[in-house]
Amino acid sequence: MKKLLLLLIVIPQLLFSQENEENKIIDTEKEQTFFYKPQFYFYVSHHINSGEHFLADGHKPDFLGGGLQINFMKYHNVKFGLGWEYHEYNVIDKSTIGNINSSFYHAAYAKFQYQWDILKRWSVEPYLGLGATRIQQRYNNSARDDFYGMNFYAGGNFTLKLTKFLSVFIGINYNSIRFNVNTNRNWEDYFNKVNQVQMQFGIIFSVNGNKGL
Amino acid sequence: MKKLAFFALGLLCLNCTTIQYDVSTRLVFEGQVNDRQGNPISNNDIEAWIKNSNDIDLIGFTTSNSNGHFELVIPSPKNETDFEITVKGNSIYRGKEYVNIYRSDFQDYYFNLDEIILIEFDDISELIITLNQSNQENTITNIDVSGIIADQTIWVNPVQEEYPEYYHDSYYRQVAKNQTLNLHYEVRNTTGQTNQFNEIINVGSDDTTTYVINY
Repeated sequence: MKKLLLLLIVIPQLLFSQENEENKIIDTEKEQTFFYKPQFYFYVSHHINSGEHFLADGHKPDFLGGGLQINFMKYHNVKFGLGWEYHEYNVIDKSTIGNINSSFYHAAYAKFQYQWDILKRWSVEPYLGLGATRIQQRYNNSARDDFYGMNFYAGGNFTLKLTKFLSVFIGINYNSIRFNVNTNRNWEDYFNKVNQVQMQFGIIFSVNGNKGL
Repeated sequence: MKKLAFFALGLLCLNCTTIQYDVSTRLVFEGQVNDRQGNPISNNDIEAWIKNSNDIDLIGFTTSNSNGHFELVIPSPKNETDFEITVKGNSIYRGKEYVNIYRSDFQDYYFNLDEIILIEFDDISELIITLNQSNQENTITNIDVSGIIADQTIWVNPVQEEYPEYYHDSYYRQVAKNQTLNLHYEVRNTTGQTNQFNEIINVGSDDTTTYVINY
């Protein structure tokens, strides 16, 4: 009877103490749900253009461009970030592009990423994004003008956590851009519909530290 | 400070003369380069030029394909409306220039030059029309020759002149050999009466073809 009484007293204590610890963990995660310390992505990118459009036909991209992305919001494993990327193109067909020296691709974008930790150090981040693209063209050496488009991204990163704060990643995505160039109807698709594949390689600096390290 | 001011002024002047383009608007030229027999002339250079009062700029170039066809796409100039298309010749064919093309000539951002006939140098005859004024009260105006013309310059839009063009003594054109030309002209007298004339000129195989108009 004494043993039973002892058990009735001790077990609830044990149960309650466990519940409090769990609550503490959940509270901490909730605190970090919407505002968490940012992640900085610095990367180089490679553009692969195919099909019949002005970037694929009339231009040749530099082998590498560059970009920056900052993730500053997180809900569970879904992250939200803003970024900017840049790539230089040389004009190779002046019969369709005009006597332009070079074209510069700039894009500002917003991405939703899902962080899927597949192993302690490895994770996969599929993402979807929307952006605005500007093509700036330079002629007569210094004069310039530009046109704009909207783009849609779908892709993913494969990430390796090196240290508590530093990771490296490779990524690939499909980028569909719709520009707003006024031209003859036979040439509208050529200037206004661009589809490309982008590959990235870079580092991620996580201010909050990598989970699990 | 003076150097800085001169530099700024220089930059400003450069900006004044440089032709500016709107790259979000693209204009399309299309044409077909043939010889006189209708055979396509391939690999022939075509250039697009933009002009303003201070400057001229080569904004696009291409070559005709194996069928003699070409399409040339250029960014639209922001202010200037004077376009020129130069169809370059070579050692065999005389080239042509299409001048005075205006922005208003484009429809749906498109201008069709149609068939461009290049004439071989050996197939060109110099047409010399002598204008013989037999009546002092008459003046001759608006002479026009139609047929296979070998002139280098084609005026897509005529030069706007305040007064009708009058001629003295002679009128010259370069035309293809072995063809029949239609000649049109107007004769005005001092009372203001105008008579129009249409005549035929037969061009043979000579390097020079002469014709006389008595008015």
